[in-house]
Amino acid sequence: MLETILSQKKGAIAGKWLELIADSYPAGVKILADKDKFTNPVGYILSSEIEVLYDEFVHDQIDSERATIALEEIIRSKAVQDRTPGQSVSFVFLLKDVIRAELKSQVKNKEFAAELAKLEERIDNLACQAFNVYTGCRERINQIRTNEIKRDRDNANRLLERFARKYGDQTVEVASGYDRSEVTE
Amino acid sequence: MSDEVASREELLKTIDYVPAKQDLYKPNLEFRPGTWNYPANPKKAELVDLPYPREWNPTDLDWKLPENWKEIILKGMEERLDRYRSLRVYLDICVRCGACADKCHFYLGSGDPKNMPVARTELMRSIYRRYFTVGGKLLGGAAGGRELTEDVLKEWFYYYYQCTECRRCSVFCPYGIDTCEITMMGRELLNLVGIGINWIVEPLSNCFRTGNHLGIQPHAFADTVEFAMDDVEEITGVKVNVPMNKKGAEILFVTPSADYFAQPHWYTFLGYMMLFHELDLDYTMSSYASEGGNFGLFHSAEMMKRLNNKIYAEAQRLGVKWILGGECGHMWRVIHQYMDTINGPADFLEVPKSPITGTVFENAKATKMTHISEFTADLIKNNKLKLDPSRNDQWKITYHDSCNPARAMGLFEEPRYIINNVANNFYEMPENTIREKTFCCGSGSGLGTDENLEMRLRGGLPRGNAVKYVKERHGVNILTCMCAIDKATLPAVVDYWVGDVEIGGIHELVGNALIMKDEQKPRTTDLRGDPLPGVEGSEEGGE
Repeated sequence: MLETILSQKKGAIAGKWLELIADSYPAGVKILADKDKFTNPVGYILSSEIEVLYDEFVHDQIDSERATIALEEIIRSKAVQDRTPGQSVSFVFLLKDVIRAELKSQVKNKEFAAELAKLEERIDNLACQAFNVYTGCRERINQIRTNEIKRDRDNANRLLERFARKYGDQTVEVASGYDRSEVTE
Repeated sequence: MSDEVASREELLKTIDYVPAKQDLYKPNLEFRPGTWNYPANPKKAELVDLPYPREWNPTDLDWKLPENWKEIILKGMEERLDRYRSLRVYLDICVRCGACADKCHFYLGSGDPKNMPVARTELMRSIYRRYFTVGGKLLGGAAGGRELTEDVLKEWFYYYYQCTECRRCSVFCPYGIDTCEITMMGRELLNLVGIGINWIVEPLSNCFRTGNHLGIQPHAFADTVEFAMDDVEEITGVKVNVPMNKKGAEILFVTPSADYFAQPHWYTFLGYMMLFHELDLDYTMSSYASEGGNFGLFHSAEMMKRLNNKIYAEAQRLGVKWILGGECGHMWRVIHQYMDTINGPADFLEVPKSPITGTVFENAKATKMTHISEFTADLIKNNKLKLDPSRNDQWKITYHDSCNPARAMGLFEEPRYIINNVANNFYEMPENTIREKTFCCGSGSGLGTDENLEMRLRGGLPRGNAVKYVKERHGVNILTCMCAIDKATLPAVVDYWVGDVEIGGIHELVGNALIMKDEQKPRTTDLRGDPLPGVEGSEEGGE
């Protein structure tokens, strides 16, 4: 029953949710002002993906592939910004406030109590998923950092290996930690 | 007990959804790891006589500033306001229309309002008002002025190393204010009191002493070039020769040092060598001018002049006629916008003229230095190269206009013309992300270092977003560019925002497609050593 109402009120609820998320950006940042996909990527992604996420949520599909993609799209930028982990995923909880406010009359009705509790549980689960996605982004950043350092090392080692071939082992000894077994012919 | 448990509403209130609101005039001193660069190594700074070299740490309260730091900064501002009329004009005429506000890749990626170019300029403009305008001197804050404090200086350090001097904002400013120059002045002033970053100071110090950013000494430079010659031979069967320090050669070829050290730059370097061999070009490389890049540009006008001078001094010593420059970004900004007034005129050189086609590059009349994409595009236009574009069929290509060749030179058509002639599958990114509106890689102007990775990813968001679009729409699998910093740092950007897209150079594609007359047998791999399409081991398979 609540699900039907949530579907019917999609425009109001998802719209309000988006507004609250936009408000979480610092003063002066009008994140939704420009609708262009390329000149305002963060605003565009928020507008489109929150709608997708809301649909998946209403239809109890929060662990669907599409919901995960939507979370990834939204969280990827938050994960590199000046936000704590909590601030990066807390946008999910804002949905609770919006639903309670928008369904004020129904919320008071005891008939809906159980349904509402389930919905809120679903939001909690969505938040857990958001945190998984956030952690995945941070792990990716660490992997990229490692890859970059490895690439630098590989660049140096590749040349050192060739120096070693040309001049013998003397050059290789300069590089600490270099695996000499790699240069033996 | 249960009475003591907070209600859901109370608990929710304890969750901090919203980042702290910022006051634009209050310095932001939160330096999150991953968003700032390590300070300059004092030993490297001393080698080029930079002022106040010392060990200091941005996270410490005490930055060990010289006692009279405030006097030094204000005197430095006064000198620069006097020397550069543009600086005074830029600080005076902004009407805060906001046209630049959402054009900066760092603003778009960080969501930090102080990264709006207008706000970043305001960090300096408020000091200018307070100390250099009558209104500010009398009314202070009421006239938009603020006191110069150590906190202001720290904030300058944070934000002026959060601008890649890409100049996208200047394209949209109705007054033509070049905010990049504000950043340049901010960095110059900071350097006066010994606040600089190592990723800039070490390369420029190395370049001044050994000829290139990496500090590769002349004999090792010659060796790496020799290794590249070996690679060309292994792939094509053709033995190429790269003349070194050859007096009386017609052309001096200068390219960024990453081309002969790093990957994927290396493949572009192989492409240059194959092209020059095929043309039987009378050229030379130099172990003294073994660096096209000029990190002095990111430090101060004086350092830029010192490093740029090496290229021209070497051209004069070797007695070449003109200079050919490789795939570099900011080298071209220095050449195109500053060289003639800081070190020119280069009247000991001749206006570049292609010995193959006879084309005279009139556009390089002042600096006598021509960009390799102009040189190669002219060769193709005059049917001087035999090309097999199918050797690039493994690639679905898009092209990133590197900021400086694009916005500082207007070099839009030549790279595209080359790509379209050496490959079959080229797809443009959306119009508002390319050419003069191109989005920066997020790592230029000396910010491309690993400790700064998160800030670079913020800055790379808009570019990554556009690459993702062409990947999803056309299956693009390589992002080409002609800037060494792009090639070094875009792999991280596409890895985070897109995934599974390679980075490459224009002359890598040229080298793949180039049919060399000395080749005895069909090529089986591209310059990366990967099997060509249709050859056994390639993705398409083969016999």
